Parts: sequence; structure tokens; C-alpha cells
Amino acid sequence: MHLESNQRVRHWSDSLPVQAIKWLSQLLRTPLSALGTLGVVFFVLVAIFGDQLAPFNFDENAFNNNDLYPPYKAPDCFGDGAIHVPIVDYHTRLFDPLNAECKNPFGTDKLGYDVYSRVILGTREIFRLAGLGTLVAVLIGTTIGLFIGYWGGWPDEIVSRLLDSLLSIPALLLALILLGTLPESATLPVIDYHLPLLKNSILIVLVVVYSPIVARVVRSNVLSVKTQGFVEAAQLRGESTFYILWREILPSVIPALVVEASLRFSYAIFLVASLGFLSLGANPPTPNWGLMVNDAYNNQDYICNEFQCYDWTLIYPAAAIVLLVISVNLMSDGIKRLVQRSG
Amino acid sequence: MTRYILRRLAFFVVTVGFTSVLIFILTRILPGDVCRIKLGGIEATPQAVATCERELGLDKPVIVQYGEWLVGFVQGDWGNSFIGEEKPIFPEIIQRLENSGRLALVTLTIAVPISIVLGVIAGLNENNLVDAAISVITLSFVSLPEFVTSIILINFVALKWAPNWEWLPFEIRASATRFDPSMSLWESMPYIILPAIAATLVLMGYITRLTRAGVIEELKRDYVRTAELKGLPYWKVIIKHVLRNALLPTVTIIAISIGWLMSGLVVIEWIFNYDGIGGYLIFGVKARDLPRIQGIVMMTVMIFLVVNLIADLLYAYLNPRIRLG
Repeated sequence: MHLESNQRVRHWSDSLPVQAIKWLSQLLRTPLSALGTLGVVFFVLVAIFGDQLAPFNFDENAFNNNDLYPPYKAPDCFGDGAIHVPIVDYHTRLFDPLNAECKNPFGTDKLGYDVYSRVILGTREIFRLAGLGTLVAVLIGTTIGLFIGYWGGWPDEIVSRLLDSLLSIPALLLALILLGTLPESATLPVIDYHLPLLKNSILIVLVVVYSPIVARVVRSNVLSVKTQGFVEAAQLRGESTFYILWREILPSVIPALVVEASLRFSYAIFLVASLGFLSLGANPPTPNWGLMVNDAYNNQDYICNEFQCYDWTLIYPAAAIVLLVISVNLMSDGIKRLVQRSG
Repeated sequence: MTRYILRRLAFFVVTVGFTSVLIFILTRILPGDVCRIKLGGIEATPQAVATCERELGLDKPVIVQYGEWLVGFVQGDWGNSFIGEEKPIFPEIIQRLENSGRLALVTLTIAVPISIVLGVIAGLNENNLVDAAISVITLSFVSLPEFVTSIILINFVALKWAPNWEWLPFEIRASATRFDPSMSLWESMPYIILPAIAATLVLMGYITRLTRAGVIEELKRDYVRTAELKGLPYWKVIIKHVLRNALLPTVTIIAISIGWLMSGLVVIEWIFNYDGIGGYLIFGVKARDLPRIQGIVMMTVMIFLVVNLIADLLYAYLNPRIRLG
């Protein structure tokens, strides 16, 4: 087969999906990063199949009769339901520990919402916000970084200074300014779950906070790649800027970008959970993990009275946040090591 | 060295300029109708809005507004709060700054020695059991959100496990009271210690990991082998040669974490009901009190930039390659 002299031979195994699978199999080789990766995959599956897994909707009362108070119900799937349930009339009437049906594995909160369903649906909420926010931030940041890194000169100088000044505001602080001043957060309706995503102020916050960091990382990588021979060759061939950025420079930037994206994702989860905990940008009854922890904490749900401890309303969402963050951190550590070894 | 300092200073001035424009845009232009926010929504009459705009100087051109705002900021006139008694913002923020400073001081005093020692131990024991234990512990502290550690501290440590310590009364453990600003640092210690521990747990992860990486990198250098081969005792090699170089990046990260402690403790201060910058800012954000947000953010960014500047200069001073170059 005859090849044009200026064409690079591309083997089918160079394509992105194959590379991704190779990476994944390498990730699964070290125990800690395998654990992290499996954890992330687990949470992604939970997010995708959330509707099938959750027996109740996030704002659906798990009780049929609303006149009961309090509607707290202990976790009833792990055999310790009987310990939690007090011998009080209104509860024994409702809940028989010996014939416990596994209906509320994580119990219910003070409004009678099923905590298990809310944690499951909260997975989707966090991926929707943190995942999509990271994705958009990475796309925008990469575009900015590619162009200013490649062009150099005064556009680079101006945009870099602007990025520097954005970065000199600590992330949480920048998020708070935006939430305090964005018109969206003022007009946020009570239930923001069904709002179109672009109107979600948290998403805007994530994009503004994280795209400058991504842009800076991409820019510094572009600077080191752009002086290399294959870029010069493409320039001499008279290729367009877009072609050079897309086909010649971007592939060399991708490893660093993947590391940065996974790191940003773990920070984004933190930020979404923290903002939810401060009940900013998310309103009840949105199944936001941070918001759920805050609800439980503010209502002193976790405190034991003389009959029982209502601590499950606090423990399960908090545990979900911690598990997801640890998984993502372990995975991104693994990716970083992988990239360092291969690059 | 002089050239380096001058370049760094010029860089600082440019960044401050850009940041002030950015904050002005974010807090004055972006919200749209500042006066409607102040007067409480769409019901405000046009006359009231017009009066308010004249008072705040919003009817002037944007450039003039920016200039007046900047001059006022430098002179200590940071505007009046939109809510409550509409008191001037400046003295309020300075008071909170002092409170946050106490917290930062206590946190650094606890966190820095512990994490440097842990980091050095982990680095010297690279890839054995001690290193693995320290790494796992610090990684899990980094992975815990501040609010989770804080809640665990309050509820499962301070309220359940702690016996009736006399020096830490119940109201303070439950974060139900705040200290009087006139108290001395020592007297206010019971109020500070719990949030300081929560902040320490976060900070410790970062500093330990960085110190460990520095020690491991320096141990591989040739001069370490030379020092060992010329017969220096082990502790002397470590303290006089390795640590001097390994702790260089740690100096920078400690300086940066001062900036973080003065601004980033929003969540911890909020949970512990601590009367610092962070807690004050959250109330401002919830009430959309724009002058307060503006003042706090401008000030924290200034602190952050100044601390970064000092860190860079310190790094240059400690690093002979830059100092003599």
C-alpha cells in the first residue's frame, strides 16, 4: 500500500476507545487504584440506574398516612431495626420488627422521605452537577489554554493575567461571590430539580471556578509541545490553526488533561457537597447529599433521645460523600502514576 | 535578586489591579439592579430606587464608580451594610479578621510541627509499613469534607466521648456560644480548639504529603551519598543536608495555607458558629449583602496575594540559586 509521505500511519489501536480500555486495565492492576476505579464505576452505575434502584421518589412520603408523627423509621434491612424502634404506641402500630419488610434500608427522615432512595437519587444529582460542571470546565479551559498557548504574545499575556487574578480568589470564595451575586440564585424556585441545567447556578459556579485552572495546565503543556518538530512540520505544510491544535497538539496534551480532569472532579464533588451543606444554590427537597447532611444536622436528627437514635439521616449521606470522594481520589492518584510512568 | 524582586512586585501590582476590576464587575455589574436588591425586590417604587442610586453613586459612569470604589477601599470606607442597622462594613470586617487570625494562629501552631514530623518520618521510611500507614491516614483526612470531620468532632468526640472537662464547658463544646473579642488568646482557647483541630486535619494531609515527597526526592541526590560516605552521622545528614532542601517547598505551602486559613475556613467557621470572616461572609451571601461580600472578598484576596508574594520572596531568599543568581 502506498502512503503519502506526509501522512502519519495510524494503527487502529491508537484510537481513543482502545487507549481508554488499555488505561483502564492498567488502572485495575494496582490494588488501591483498582479499588478507587471500581468505586467510581459503582457510583456511575448507581447514578444511571437510579430510577430502578430507588423504591421511592426523592420527595415521596414513604408512609401512607401522613398524620403520624414523628415519621422517623429506623433502617429495617440489617437486622438491627428492632433495636432502634422504641416501644411506643404509635410506632408499634406502624412497624413490626419481627415481620420487617425491607422497605427502608436506610430508614426515613423527619418528613417521612426514604433516605435510601434519596441517597441513590443524590448520586445522579452529584454526577449531574459535579460531573457535567467538570466536563464543561474542562472543555472551556482546554479551548482557552490551547489558543493562548499556541498564539502566545499579547493575547496570551492578557488572558493569563486575567486567569491569574481569577485564581487568586480561593475557589470556595469565588463560588460564594457568584452565588451571592448571580441573578439566577435570587430567582431560584423552591424546587430546582426540574430546572434546565444551564440555569443551575452551581453549574455556572463550577465552570467559572475550574476552567481557569484547566486553562493554565493546558497552556503550559502546549508551550512545551509547540516547539517540537511535528508541529513545525505541520505549520510548514500550511495546515490551519484548528487542524494543528486538534490533530497535532491536543493528543499530546490529553494525558495531563485526564489527570487534571479527575482531580477537578474530586474537588467539584467537594464543592457541590460543601455548597449543599451551606444550603446555597440547592433547596430542599433536592436530593443533594450535602443538603441532606445539613438537614439532619440542623434538625438535630442525629441526637439520641431516651427512646432511640435518629443518626441514620446523617450517617448515610455523609458516608456516600466520603466514599465517592475517596474513590475518585484513589482513581486520580492511579491515573497520575500511570501518566507519569508512561510519559 | 533585586531584579527578581522588582519583577515579582510588578507582577503583584498587575494582578491586584486585574483582581480589583474583576471583583468590581462581579459584585457591582453582574447583580444588575443593586438598589432593587437593597430595597428588597420588585416592589420598590421608582422614586426610592432613584434616591438609592443617587446615594450609592450608581447614576455615574462605570469608570467613575470603579475609581470612587477603589479610592474608598484604600481609605477604609467600604460602604454600609444593606441589612440590619446599615452599619459601616470596615470595622465589622476588621473585628472578624482578628478572630479568624486567632484561629489561623492556633491551627498553624498545631498543624505545622505535627505534619512536618509525620512527613519526614514517612519520607525516611519510603514504601514500608510506617509510610503506608501515614499515607493512608493523611489521604483519608484529605478525602473527608470539612463538614463531615467537624460534625464528627462535635457530636461523636466532643459531646459523646469527652468527659465533663472543666476547661471545655458544654456550651462551648456544642458551639452554642461565641467568645468575647476582648478576651485574651489564652482565655478564648476553649472556643478555638475544636475548629482548629478540624482545620488541622485538612491542612495536615497536604503538608505531610508535600514534605514526604520533598524528603524522598532529596534523599536520592548525590550530595546525600557524599555526606554519608564522608562519615557524617545519619541524623546530621538528615537535619543539616536533606531537610534544608526538602523543606523549601513546604515553606511556600505553609505561607499559602495562611491565606487559606484566613479565607477558606468558611464551612468550619459556619459549623462551629465561630465569629470569623468565613461565617460572616456566609450570612452576607445568604442575605445578598453586596458591600459585605465585596469588602470581604477584596480583603481576603489582598491577604492571599500578599502572602503569596511573601512566600515567593522567602523562597527566593532561602534558595541560593535564585538569591545569588
